[in-house]
Amino acid sequence: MNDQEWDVILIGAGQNNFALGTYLGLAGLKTVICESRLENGGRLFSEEITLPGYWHNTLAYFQDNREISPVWKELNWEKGHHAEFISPPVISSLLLADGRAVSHHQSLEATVESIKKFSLKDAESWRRTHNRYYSLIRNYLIPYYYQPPGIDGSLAKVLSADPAAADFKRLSALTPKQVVDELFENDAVKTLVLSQMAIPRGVGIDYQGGGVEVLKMIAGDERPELARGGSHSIAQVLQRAYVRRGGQIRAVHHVEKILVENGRAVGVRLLDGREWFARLAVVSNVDPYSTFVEMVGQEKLSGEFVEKIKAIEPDEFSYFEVHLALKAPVRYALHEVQDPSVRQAMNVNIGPEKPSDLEEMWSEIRAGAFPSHPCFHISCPTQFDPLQAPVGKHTATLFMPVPFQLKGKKAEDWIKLKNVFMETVLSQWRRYATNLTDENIQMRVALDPFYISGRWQNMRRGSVWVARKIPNQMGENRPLPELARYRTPIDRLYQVGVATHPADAVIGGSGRNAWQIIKDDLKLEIKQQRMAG
Amino acid sequence: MGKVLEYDGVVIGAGHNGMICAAYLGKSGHRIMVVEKNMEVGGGLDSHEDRNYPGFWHNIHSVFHRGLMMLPWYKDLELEKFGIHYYKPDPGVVHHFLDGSYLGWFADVGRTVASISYFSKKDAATFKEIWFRWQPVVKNIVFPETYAVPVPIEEKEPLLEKTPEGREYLKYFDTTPEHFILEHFEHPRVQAFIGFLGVMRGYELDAPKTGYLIPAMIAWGVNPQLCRGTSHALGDNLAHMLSHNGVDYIEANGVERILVEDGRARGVVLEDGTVIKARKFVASNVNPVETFIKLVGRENLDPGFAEMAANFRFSKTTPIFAVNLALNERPKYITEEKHPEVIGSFMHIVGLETYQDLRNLFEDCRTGQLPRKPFMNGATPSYHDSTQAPPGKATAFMWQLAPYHLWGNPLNWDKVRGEWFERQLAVWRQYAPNLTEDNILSKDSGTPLDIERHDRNMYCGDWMVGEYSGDQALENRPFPGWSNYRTPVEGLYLCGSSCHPGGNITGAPGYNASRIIAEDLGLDPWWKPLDFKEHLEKLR
Repeated sequence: MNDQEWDVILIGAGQNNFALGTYLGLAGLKTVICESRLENGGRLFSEEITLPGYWHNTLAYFQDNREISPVWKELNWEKGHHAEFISPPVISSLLLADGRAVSHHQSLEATVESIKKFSLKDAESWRRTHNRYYSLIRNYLIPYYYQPPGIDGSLAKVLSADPAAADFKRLSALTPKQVVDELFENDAVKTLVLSQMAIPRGVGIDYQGGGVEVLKMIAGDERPELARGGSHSIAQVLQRAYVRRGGQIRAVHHVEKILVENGRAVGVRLLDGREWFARLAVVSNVDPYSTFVEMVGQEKLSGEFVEKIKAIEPDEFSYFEVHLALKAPVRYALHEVQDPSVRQAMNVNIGPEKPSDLEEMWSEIRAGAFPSHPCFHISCPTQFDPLQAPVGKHTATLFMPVPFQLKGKKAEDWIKLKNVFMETVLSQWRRYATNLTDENIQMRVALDPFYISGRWQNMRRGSVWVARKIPNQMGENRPLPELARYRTPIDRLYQVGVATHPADAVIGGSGRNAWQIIKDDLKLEIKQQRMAG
Repeated sequence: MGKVLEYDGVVIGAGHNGMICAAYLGKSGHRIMVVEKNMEVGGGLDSHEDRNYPGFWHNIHSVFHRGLMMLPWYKDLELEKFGIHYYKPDPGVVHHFLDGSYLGWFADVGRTVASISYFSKKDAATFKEIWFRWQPVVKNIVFPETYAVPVPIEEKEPLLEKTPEGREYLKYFDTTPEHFILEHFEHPRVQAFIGFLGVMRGYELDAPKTGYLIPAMIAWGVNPQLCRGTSHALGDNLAHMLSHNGVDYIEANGVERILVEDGRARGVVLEDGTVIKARKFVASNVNPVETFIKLVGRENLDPGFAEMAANFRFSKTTPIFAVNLALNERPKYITEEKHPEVIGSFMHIVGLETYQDLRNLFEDCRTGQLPRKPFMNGATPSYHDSTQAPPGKATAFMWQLAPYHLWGNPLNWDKVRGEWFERQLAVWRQYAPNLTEDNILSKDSGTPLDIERHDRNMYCGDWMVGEYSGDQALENRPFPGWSNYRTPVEGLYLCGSSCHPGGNITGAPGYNASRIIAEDLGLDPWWKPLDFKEHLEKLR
C-alpha cells in the first residue's frame, strides 16, 4: 500500500474530520487523517489528570440534540460503534449564597416549578417563551446547523415560515442580557440563564446576537448528555467508525505545509519533510490562522484575505479548571434540602447572584484580571456515570471563564500562579459544597489557559470556540463569508471545525455540512458499505 | 443498562495480547468483541501528557520494545499498514559508572564484547563465546518455544537430547539466573549489567528453572526499540487494526462477571449491567485471580482449582517507581565526555555499581523496604523521537524497582511519593549533573501503587502479571497442567501475560491462545502456528 498518495488528506483528528472522513470512506475514497498530537479526538478528551484510575474530561463533556442529529444516524455511531449516553434530568442548578437554588430541568414543568419559588410571573414567562419558540427551534434552527449556511436561503427566510419568527428574529439579535431583562424580572432567574452564556455557550452577556442562545436554552429542549465512559469514549466511537470504513489515522504526523500548485491544494508536507499527495482534496480541521497563514502560506493568498484571517477575533476568555479526585461525590447539603433537584444536576453554577455580578466578571476578564466575581461551572459526572472513576470513587470538575493572559503577565506564568488560584477557587467552592474536605479530596489539579493553548494548538489564546461567536463571525459569516461554505480561496482545500458553522454543542455538524459541499464539488456518492480490508 | 449484545467471542481486556488474540479470530470470520475496563485500550502500552506543560509526553509504562517488526503477529496482522514506526538507537543500552566508564550493548556484538573487555578480558571472551554458542539455541528452540504452546519438560527432554543446541538448553535449564551469571562472569560490574538486564524484564535472580534465559538473552540480543509517538501509538495501531478488521471493542466498561452455565462460559456481564453473550468462547486477558476468583466465582470451580488460582503469585521485584521529567535540556551524562558514543543510547542505567546491589534490591523489595541504594534504568525518548517533546526540549525518565507493599501497605507510597522522587532524582543527578532545578520544567511520578490503579490487571503493581519462577513458567504457567490457555470452564480461555511466556510486549500469549481457541472451534487457522513438539522432532 502506497503511504504517499491518498484521495483526501484531512488535517487534524477532531470530530468533524472523523465525521467527514467517514462519509468519504463510504463514498469509496482512500483517506488519511494527520494529527499533530499523540492522541486523537481533539477536544473529546479525557485523562487521568489527578490520579490513575480517575478520568477527567478536560474540555468538552457533553453534547446536545443527538436524537435529531442526522450524523449519528447516518454514520451509525451509536448502535454500530457502541456509544452510550446519560442524560441527567436536571441540566443546571444555580446555587445562591442564602441556600436557595433555581434549576433548569429537562422537563418544562419542573423548571417552571423551580422558578415559581422566585417569581410566579417569571415562571409563566418561561413557559410562554418555551411554548412559543419550541417548534421553530426544533423544526428550523437545529436543522439549520446541519446544513451549509445559506444553502436554502438565509436563516431568516427559513424561519419566516413560522408565525413566531418575527419575535424570534428580534430577540435573537439582542444581547443575552437584553433578552432576559425583557422576559424576566427576578435576578436569580435571569442569572440562571446568563450564567450559561460564557461556559458552555461561548457568548458574552453583552454580545449582539447572543440572544439566540437564551432562546435555545429556554425553548430548545436540547437534552444535554454525558458520554458514558467520558468524552474520550466518543472520540473512540468516531475513530472506530472511520477506520471501519477504510480510513487511516496517523498520530504525531504534524502537517507543516499544505502544498498548493496553480491555486489548487495537492497535498501536504509533514514536519519531518515527507510529502504526501492528495488526488482529490485536502481538508483542514484546525484553526483558520494555522490553515492559511501557516500551512498554505501568505504568498499563495491575496493580501486582503490574509488580513481578514488575521483579524478573526478569538474568544475573549479561556478556561481555568480545577479537577478533583474524590472519595465521595460533591454535596451541597443546604441547597439540596431546599431543592433536591440539585443532586441530579449535570451542572451546578456558583458565584453570580444577579446579572451585574456577571457584568463585573466580564469587566475583570477584559481587564486581564482573575475574576473576583467568578462564575463556576461544576460537574460531578461520576454521580451519573460511575465508570469514570474507580468503584465507589468520584471525580469533580470546575470550569470558569478567565482571561487567556493575566495583565502584566506572560501566558506561561499561569504555571506558577495556578495553584494559588486553585486554593482561592476551592475556598469559594467550599462555601457552598459541604463535603469538600481535605479528607474527601484525594488529589486536586488545576489546568489553565496556557495548558489549553499548548495542548490544543488550534485554540490560540486558549480560545475554545476559535472564532468568537459574534454576528459577523456566525452563520454565513463564520469565520468569514468566503469560508462559510467550507470552501476556501484555494481550490480543493476545505476548512471545517469549530471555527465554521454551526459552532454548537453538536458532534460532526461542520464535517457533515462540508461533506454536502465536497460531495457536489467532487461528484461523489455513498456506495455500498465499503468493508475495510 | 439492561442492554444485551451477542458475539461469537468475547475477549476480556484490551491489552496487546487480548487485541492480538481477537484479531486472529476475528480475521477467521468470527464476530468478536473486546471489552476494556480502562478508558484507553492497550493495557501496558500507555502514556500521558505532562500535566503542567503540554507537548511533553511521558511513557508511563512499557517503552523498551524488542524486534516487534519481526514477530509473527506483526506480520500476520499487517500492523505496518497503520503507520507504526520504530527507532533503533545504537547502542541500545549504556550502563554508566560513577568513574565515567560504562558498559554498552551495541547492535554489533563485537562492540559489546569490546565494551566488556575494558573491565574483564575473560568475561568478554565468555560473553562472545556464549553469544555464538546460543545463536542456534535461540533460533531453533527458545524463540519457537516462545511462540508456541509449551511442551512439558518430560516430553521435550528426549527430543532436546538429540541436538547440540538442545543439549545446551538442557544444560542450563535447571538453574537460576544468578547461578548462571556468577558461574560465567567474574567482574562485579559485568555481573550487575547482565543481571539487571534480566531483572528489568521480569526475571527473578533466584528463580529455579529460568537460568537458561540469561544465555538466551545474550544471544537473542537486548537491543530495545522505541515506538514513534510513544508506546501508546502501538496500542492505538492495534485498536485501528481491530476496527479495520471488523472486530469491535469498547472501553471504560469492564467485565464484572463471566456467565457460566452448566460448566460452560456463555458470556460476560459488564460494570454497567450490559450483557454480552458469547456463542463460542470467552478469552480472558486478565490474571487468573481476577478471572477465576472474581469473574467466574469459586462456586463455578472445583475447590482445588480455585485454591490454585487464588494462590497465584505476583512478583515482588517488578513494580516500578517512575521519575518522569519535562526538561529544557536532555540529561547529559558524565560518561559522555570521554565516550561520546553513549549519547545516542536508548536505555541508560545509573546507580548500579556492583552485583551485590542487585541482591540487596531484591531483599529490600521482598521485605517491603525502600531500596537502600537506588539504581535505575531509563531513557531520553525525545532524543530519538522528536514528537515526544516540544522542539528543542526533552523528556526523560528513570525507573526504580521498588516494593508494592511498602512497609506492609501500598498506601504508604502516597505519603512518601515526593520525598522518594527527590531521592531517585538525586542519584540520577550524580550521573547527569545538568538535571538541576533550572533545567527541570515539570516533575511527574508513578508509584508501584499507581501501576495497579491505572491498570487493574496488574495486581500489586506487577506488570509481569505473575512471578516468573520455575513453578509459574513454561508448562506451569499459570498453573501446572494448565499452560495450554484452556481452563476448566468449557469455552473459557486465558490469553494474557499470566500465561506462557509471561509479560513484556511479546504478543506471544495472545498469539498462542488464538491457536488453541481455533483448534477447539474446529478451525483451520489462516496463519501458521508452530507445534513445538513437532518442530523439535524435526530438528537435526
